[in-house]
Amino acid sequence: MNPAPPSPGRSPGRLRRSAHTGPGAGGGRAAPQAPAGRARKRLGPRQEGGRHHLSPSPAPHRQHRAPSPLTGPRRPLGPSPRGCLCRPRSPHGAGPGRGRPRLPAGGAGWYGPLPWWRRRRAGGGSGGSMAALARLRARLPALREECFRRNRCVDEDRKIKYKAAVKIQSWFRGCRVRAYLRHLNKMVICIQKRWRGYQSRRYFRKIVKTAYFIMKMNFYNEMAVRLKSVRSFWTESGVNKGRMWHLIGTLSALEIQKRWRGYYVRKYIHNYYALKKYLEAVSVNNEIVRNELQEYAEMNEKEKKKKDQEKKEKEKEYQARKMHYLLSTEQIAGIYNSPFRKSPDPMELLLRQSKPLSHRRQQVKSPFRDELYDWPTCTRPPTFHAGESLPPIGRQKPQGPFRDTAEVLRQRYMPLEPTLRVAASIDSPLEKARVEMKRGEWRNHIHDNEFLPFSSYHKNEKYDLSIHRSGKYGQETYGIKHFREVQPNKWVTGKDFQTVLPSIVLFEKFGKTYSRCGQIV
Amino acid sequence: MSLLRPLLLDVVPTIQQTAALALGRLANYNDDLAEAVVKGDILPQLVCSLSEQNRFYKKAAAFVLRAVGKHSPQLAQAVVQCGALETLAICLEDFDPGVKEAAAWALGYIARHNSELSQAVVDAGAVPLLVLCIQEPEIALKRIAASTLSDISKHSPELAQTVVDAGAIAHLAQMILNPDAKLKRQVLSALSQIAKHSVDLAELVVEAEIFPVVLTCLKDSDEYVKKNGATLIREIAKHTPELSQFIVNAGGVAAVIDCIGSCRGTVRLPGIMMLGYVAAHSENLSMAVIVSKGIPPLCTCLVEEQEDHIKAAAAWALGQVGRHTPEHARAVAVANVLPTLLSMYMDTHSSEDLQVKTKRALKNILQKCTYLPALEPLLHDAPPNIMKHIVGQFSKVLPHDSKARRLFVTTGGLKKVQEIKAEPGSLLQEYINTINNCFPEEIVRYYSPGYSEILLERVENYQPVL
Repeated sequence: MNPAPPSPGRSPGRLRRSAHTGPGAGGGRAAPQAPAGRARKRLGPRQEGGRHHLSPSPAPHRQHRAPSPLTGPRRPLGPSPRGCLCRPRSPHGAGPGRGRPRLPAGGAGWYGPLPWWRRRRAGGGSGGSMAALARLRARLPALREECFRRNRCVDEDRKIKYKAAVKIQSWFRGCRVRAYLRHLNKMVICIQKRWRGYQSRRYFRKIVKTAYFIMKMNFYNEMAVRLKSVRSFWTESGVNKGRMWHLIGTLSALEIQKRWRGYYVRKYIHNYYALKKYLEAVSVNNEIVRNELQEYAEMNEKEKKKKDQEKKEKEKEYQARKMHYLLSTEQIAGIYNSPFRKSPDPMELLLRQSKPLSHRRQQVKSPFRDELYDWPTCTRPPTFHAGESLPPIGRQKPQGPFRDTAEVLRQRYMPLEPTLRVAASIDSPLEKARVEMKRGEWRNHIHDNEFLPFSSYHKNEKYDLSIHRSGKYGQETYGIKHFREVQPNKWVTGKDFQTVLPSIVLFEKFGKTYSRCGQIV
Repeated sequence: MSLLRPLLLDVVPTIQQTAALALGRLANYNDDLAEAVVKGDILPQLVCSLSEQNRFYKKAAAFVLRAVGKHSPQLAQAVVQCGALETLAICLEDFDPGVKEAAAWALGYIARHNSELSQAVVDAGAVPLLVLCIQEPEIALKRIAASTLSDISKHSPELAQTVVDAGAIAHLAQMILNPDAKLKRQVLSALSQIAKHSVDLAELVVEAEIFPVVLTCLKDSDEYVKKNGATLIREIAKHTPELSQFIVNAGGVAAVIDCIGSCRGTVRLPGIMMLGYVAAHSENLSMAVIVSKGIPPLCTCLVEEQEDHIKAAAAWALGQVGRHTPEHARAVAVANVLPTLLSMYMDTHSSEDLQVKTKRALKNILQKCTYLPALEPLLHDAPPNIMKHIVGQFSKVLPHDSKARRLFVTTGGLKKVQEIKAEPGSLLQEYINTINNCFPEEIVRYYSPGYSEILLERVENYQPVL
């Protein structure tokens, strides 16, 4: 961001240019186009806006260059001095931002003018070339000296000029940087002052608010004190409400709060009237409930009494029916109908009303009824068909070798009498036998302790008191002297019954088939 | 035992049943015998054959299991370990109601002991079957099923929740109307065991619309029905103020008060506690108790009952009623119950619990009591820690009420206050000073002890001016 300094680039360039225009102009004579071209070319970059790399600006005058005292007459020099003369200058094309270095047209520029022999040829052409050569040869030593002298001068100059350039540049840069810093400083000051102003205004606003608030509170509290005294004065003096309203605007905060809180609590939290109503409703409700419960209790009692009474009456009736024989007859007065009484006893009347109890046999429970239900295999009692089914009425015996109808029907409706094998359960006999054996073992054991091989195993055994030996009063005889009651004189046989009878199929059919074989005649 | 064991496997079924019955009766009588039955290895046999045999055998075997299981948790555990629970649960599905009853009874006795056994019964899947049993028409079966459900649900909230999830509450609530007294006892006990555990369960019970029907149970002729009904209402009322409010709105407080008035003995206890719980929740409810005329029965309970724990409960309830505001304390004090409380506190024969409860009740009531005529009699025989509350109350009321001051003097209270010895700087001394400052100096001096001697001394030392 370099502001365009007032282009000092011109003067040094001009300075230099003026130092070097001689040979340049000399080269320009040889190639008239070249300086013009050079100048033209140089104008371009100049117009681009001022490079500070101090490009040499073309001379305003192009054609005629006065021979400078330094260079003497314009003499074309070899390429090398020209080249070294031109070296300190920054090359034309190497400026920043420039494009390719542009060679002046024709190659003659300050890079290197045309070599002497070319120039010579371009310029002259005729005339004694040998003479020219001799002349040139004569000039050669002087030329060398001249060259050295020029270089030395230039070298001495160069240092001075270099230092000068550096000084100028540093001063200039310093100027620019200082300007920049000044500028920055100005900016910073601007921002900071704005910001600080803002902060302090904020703070100020806050302070003002609090001060205002404190003032207000003090004012209100003062008013409250004043108000209380004033109000008491006013109520005592009976001033009307209008004047009171006037003061409401200046009521203190505390007053307002007091009133509001009292109102709120009385209305919503401890609403006295609502509570009162509620309690009244509760007592009314309680009365109703108590009455209802009283009625219920009375009803219950009545029911109970009634039930007891009915029960008693039923008892009496039953007794009367049982003792119906105590009824008095025409001849003999019964117990309850004493002739000395005015009217018969109520029992007598009861006896008269009641029907005698019939000698109905009590329902004897058949000994088989329950047990038959309990047999695992037989779940219904065997129905013995009671009575024979009646034969059909008035049927003529059908012709032919038919049996008697009654017999047929009897056979047809004979109930199922399954064989033992069918009636037995589905489980295989092997399973049953196994279970049976296990049960038998379990049953027959006196105790379940297994036999232990050595007596040392029994050492730490605790003796279990058997219950039927440890009675309260010593040993009991039950379990030792006698077990169940046993009456051998009632036994039918001396041996035990066999538990399972083998079934003989033929014998089971006995009496159940049509054929009469085996029947006793 | 070794003789009965083979009989269990007898061929004749009647013998089997009779043997089982005998075993059951033996085990029922004594727990040593029950232990012998267990040791004799009979239970596995019973359990095995239970599944195959007929209903009489099943009844007898269930009777044996019940008899063994009822004595102690260890025996019940032995029964459970035999795998009896599954078999009993199968018996619950039997057609015969007698079998169901015996099985339910056995399960109930097993579940009664502790929560692990109850959990084992529940894990055997007995609860839905019991709920089905409740719906059966036979009364005995209903009774036993209700009692078993009550025993299961009393141990923990999870068990109660299991019972509730099986849908028991609706059926139990319907059975409250049944006229049979013993059934009502069990049903009310079951509902109260369910409701006691948490607010949600109590709300579920209330949602089954037992109010106001359950109030009729409080008027039943059977004592235990009344007691269990009061227990149920107490378990519901103790959880939250909303539930108590609901009960008050349904007229429950009046019914309970009548119930207390009509019973004697431990039957009253749940009713007293219920009033205490209701009054403890808030001052409006306490006022509702007072308005329903609850204080006189509580006072009569306090005075009449012989047992200390009932007296303690009555004292506690009175404390809860009177502790809220001066109005409440006045209502309690007017019933002339404070001297009774004080005498109970001072009585050396009272149990510690009773003393603690009366002291707390007295303290709570006295801190709010501004009814001075009731406080006067207490001045004379209160111990120091109670005295400071009484004197404190006087010191609060006397500065503002001139008539009360006059009464205070005429009834001899001021004299009594002067006689109290208090350490200087203690709270009691401050109260006494406040009271003394309410009166003119002459009268304070007049009543101070030893004043007559001082006066007489002055008389003696007086030199008459001739």
